[in-house]
Amino acid sequence: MKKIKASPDTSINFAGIKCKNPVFVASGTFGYGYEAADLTDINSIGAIITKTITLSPKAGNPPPRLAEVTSGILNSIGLQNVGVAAFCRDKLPLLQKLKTPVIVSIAGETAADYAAVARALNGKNGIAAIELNLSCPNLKKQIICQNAQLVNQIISRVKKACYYPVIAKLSPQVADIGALGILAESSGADALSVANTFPGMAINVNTFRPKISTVTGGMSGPAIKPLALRCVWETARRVRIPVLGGGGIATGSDAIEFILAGARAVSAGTANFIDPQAPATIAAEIAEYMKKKNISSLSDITGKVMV
Amino acid sequence: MILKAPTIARVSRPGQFAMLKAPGVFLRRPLSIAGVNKDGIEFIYRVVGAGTRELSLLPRESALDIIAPLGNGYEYDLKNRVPLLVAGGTGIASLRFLALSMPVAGVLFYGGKTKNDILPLKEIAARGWKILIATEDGSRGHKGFVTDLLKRHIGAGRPGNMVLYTCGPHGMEKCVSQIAADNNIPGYVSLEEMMACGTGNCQGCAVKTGDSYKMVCSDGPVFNINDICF
Ligand SMILES: Cc1cc2nc3c(=O)[nH]c(=O)nc-3n(C[C@H](O)[C@H](O)[C@H](O)COP(=O)(O)OP(=O)(O)OC[C@H]3O[C@@H](n4cnc5c(N)ncnc54)[C@H](O)[C@@H]3O)c2cc1C
Ligand SMILES: Cc1cc2nc3c(=O)[nH]c(=O)nc-3n(C[C@H](O)[C@H](O)[C@H](O)COP(=O)(O)O)c2cc1C
Repeated sequence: MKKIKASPDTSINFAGIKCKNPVFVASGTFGYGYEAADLTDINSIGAIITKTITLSPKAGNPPPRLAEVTSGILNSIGLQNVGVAAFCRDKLPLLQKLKTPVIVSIAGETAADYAAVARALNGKNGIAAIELNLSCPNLKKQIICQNAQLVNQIISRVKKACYYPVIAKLSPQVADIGALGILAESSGADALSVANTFPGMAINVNTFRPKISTVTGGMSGPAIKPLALRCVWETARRVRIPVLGGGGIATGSDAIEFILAGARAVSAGTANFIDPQAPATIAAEIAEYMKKKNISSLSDITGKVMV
Repeated sequence: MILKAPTIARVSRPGQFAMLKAPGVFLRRPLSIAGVNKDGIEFIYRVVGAGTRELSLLPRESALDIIAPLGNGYEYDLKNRVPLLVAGGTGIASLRFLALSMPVAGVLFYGGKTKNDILPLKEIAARGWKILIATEDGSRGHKGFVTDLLKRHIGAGRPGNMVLYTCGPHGMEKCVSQIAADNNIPGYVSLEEMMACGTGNCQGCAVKTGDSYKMVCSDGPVFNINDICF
């Protein structure tokens, strides 16, 4: 039997990004990326994905923006952010001080919007990759992932507009997420992020009013884990590019499930709200699992669910 | 409820809050810090749902996972003004800590639905504060709203010397903000919104200020009363 080092090697290379462990923080759940420095060791996180940045600042949706549901939350933040110019001026310098790779999430309404944000970010220090949020459920327009042509245009134009690896974040709210993954891959995406929140709804029975201002919102947290896991499995086995899996991950064992389903890396989102140290704990639990199971590299078990 | 937490007690300021991990519910629950003692922090809360019920059922000497102190806290450089504190219901929590921390005594207006909502505040009275109570059913003090008492007090005094601090139900805070505007009295309001993280990351607890949304947890919970669009 081969001998394993005291602490197993959890490091990964995700679409060219070198990460000390496979646990990322999901977009929109960790601010711009540096705010939680008092609450956790940010450098213990595999990679940070910033909240989604748009070309112009966005005010976000009116309150109430959040509702608690069984084992999860429903949100409708509406991509509140300072816009790409202020991001580069005020936020990026703080992110450049981190050792952890930073992935900037971006969004827009048209392919030209996405390309303009990517161009504004191009050539800046301290950005490891771009994640395209193609899946926000909380904007008045459709979810971009439901328009194949638009997905293709956005990815190919962003690829031309910048030299960063591009991660396409998919919505689970599509007929065939595997086919969407293939489309994103053939459009030039370097990796996939699967999946964003699931559209959902909650009503206050005393007031008869929806619990969030936009009536429907995005579901996240442990409640969606089996749904997200299926999405990862359906896409990962049909593409060659790496998949970042996420949705409801709160423990090391949740993360291992996603890795077995084919995810090369995993993300924790809602879990950060309850425990700012969740990513570090999940990474430690993955290492413990590898040690116990005598696994020397995560690639040995990636996609190895036996079906 | 009192928690032993000497470090948090030492650094907490009035108006700040804690996020508590109550057993059996998914998200943490925010509660204002209602006071500190040598090695503990104090909370005053009402049981309204599963989270607060679970907290109330914890046996003595339980361990609790909390993140604190969070938020900005009240500013109380009084500049020789007389502080008027306006509390409704559990809004008394953060204002109690404020009254106990201020270098001078002022007037505390304290309202509730019935006398059962009114907590004894001997420590505050002992520091020279005048406490005026109103209940909606008249079972204790003035029958009506606490803001009636506030209006009467301001009408009989010199508004130019006053500063307002308020925490309570939305309707009461809105009324206090109107009174502040009508009488040109500076003031601070502590807001409550549904929040997931308490640390500025989820952007869930938005409030409208001027032409932008601010976060209750990280920009507040205390705001200049003129800045809030009630
Ligand atoms: C910064 C801040 C400080 C607070 N300080 C105190 C305090 O010192 N004492 C106190 O008793 N309460 C305080 N609250 C309110 C307290 O957080 C809620 O009452 C509590 O979270 C309810 O949890 P629950 O699980 O018992 O009820 P839930 O089952 O979650 O909800 C029951 C009902 O309570 C109301 N509610 C839920 N969450 C909130 C909320 N965040 N704000 C207002 N109402 C809510 C809802 O209308 C809901 O219908 C504070 C809230 C904030 C944001
Ligand atoms: C409050 C909140 C805000 C979010 N904001 C964004 C965002 O700006 N961009 C994005 O791509 N995803 C956003 N998401 C989705 C998360 O990145 C993640 O995909 C989703 O929450 C599922 O993972 P989880 O169950 O681990 O939270 C947000 C989620 C939450 C709960």
